Amino acid sequence: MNDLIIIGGGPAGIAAGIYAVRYGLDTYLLERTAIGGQISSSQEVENYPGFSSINGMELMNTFKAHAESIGVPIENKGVTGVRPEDDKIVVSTDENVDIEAKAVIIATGAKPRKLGIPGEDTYYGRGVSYCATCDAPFYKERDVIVVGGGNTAISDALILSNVANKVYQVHRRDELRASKVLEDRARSRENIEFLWDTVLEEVKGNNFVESALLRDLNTNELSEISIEGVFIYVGIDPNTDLIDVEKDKSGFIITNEFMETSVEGIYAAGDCRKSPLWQVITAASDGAIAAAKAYEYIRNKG
Amino acid sequence: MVKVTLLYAKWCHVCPSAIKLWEDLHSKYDFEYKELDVDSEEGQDVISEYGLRGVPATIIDGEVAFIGLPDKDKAIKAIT
Repeated sequence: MNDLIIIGGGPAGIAAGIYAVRYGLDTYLLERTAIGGQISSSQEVENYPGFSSINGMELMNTFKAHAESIGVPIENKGVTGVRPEDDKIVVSTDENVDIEAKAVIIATGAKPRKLGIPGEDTYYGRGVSYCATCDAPFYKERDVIVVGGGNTAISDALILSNVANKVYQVHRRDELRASKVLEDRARSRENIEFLWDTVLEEVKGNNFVESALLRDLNTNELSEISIEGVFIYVGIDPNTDLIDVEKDKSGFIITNEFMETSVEGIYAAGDCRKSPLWQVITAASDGAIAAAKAYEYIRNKG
Repeated sequence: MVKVTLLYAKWCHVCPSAIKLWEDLHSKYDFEYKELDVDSEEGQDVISEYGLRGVPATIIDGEVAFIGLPDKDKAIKAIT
């Protein structure tokens, strides 16, 4: 039996792996994708100390290389379930193989939240996107809208404004949640137009997206705008279906300050956890705490 | 034989996972497999032909089967 299984190879999982291996724990890290972490979809990360500006994919490759250099075994496997059994935790993988460990750290992260409006699923990949870094080049000289007012929304509006003809920034409030630095950059771009107090009600088209139906929240009036792309950034939904522990109503795992979940031996770290801030730096911090507490738990178990 | 074409881009962080998935399946299952860089001439032609607006995109037997990273089980179902 392994001492510890870490599920997820984003900043939280990698940090947990580095700490765990240094504690001498027999550790196994499982990551579904080739490059973990939502941050790998960011074109530029400017708030992780030590890197004044780095591409998200590059940052994650740096994390991974560090972990591998000190002997964290990273396996490319998906996980379908986690269940406590007597004195151990059983992790089921997508290859129908069960792996057992004394403790488990859930660092499965989150995914972009959907708006849940008509047309959103129909036109996914045909004009609807959740990743400007991936898809912006397909919108050269086209008009697009970006929905949301946080850092990701504004960062991606900036990426799009470099290639698109026009970017409509649609936000349900009259001010942004994004950092001042990003807001100032967006406001200085001539082809970004802010549509305040506005929500997206429907994505329309034929084979591809052709227009968006918007509602002005002040007047309640509907208007249709001709665009070819819709980029949605309205928060995140945690990847926590695989585990039955205490969660909040959105599915984020509830932990104490030691990253302990409601089930003994199971810890949670990073974006899958209910947290006041979801950032690379807080995810890494969560991972370190989780590994330290898992080490204590495993050692006390003998 | 089923024909699978995967369109990828160098800048896309999901693409390495899609490439790995299809290469793994290709070593276990019998189907025709091709990878196309969207920046290549042929890649550009396929994008215009299908009107693609995202990568990774998987085309199976002339139809856009997946956009984004395919679910492994669904991918297996699509080729068997």
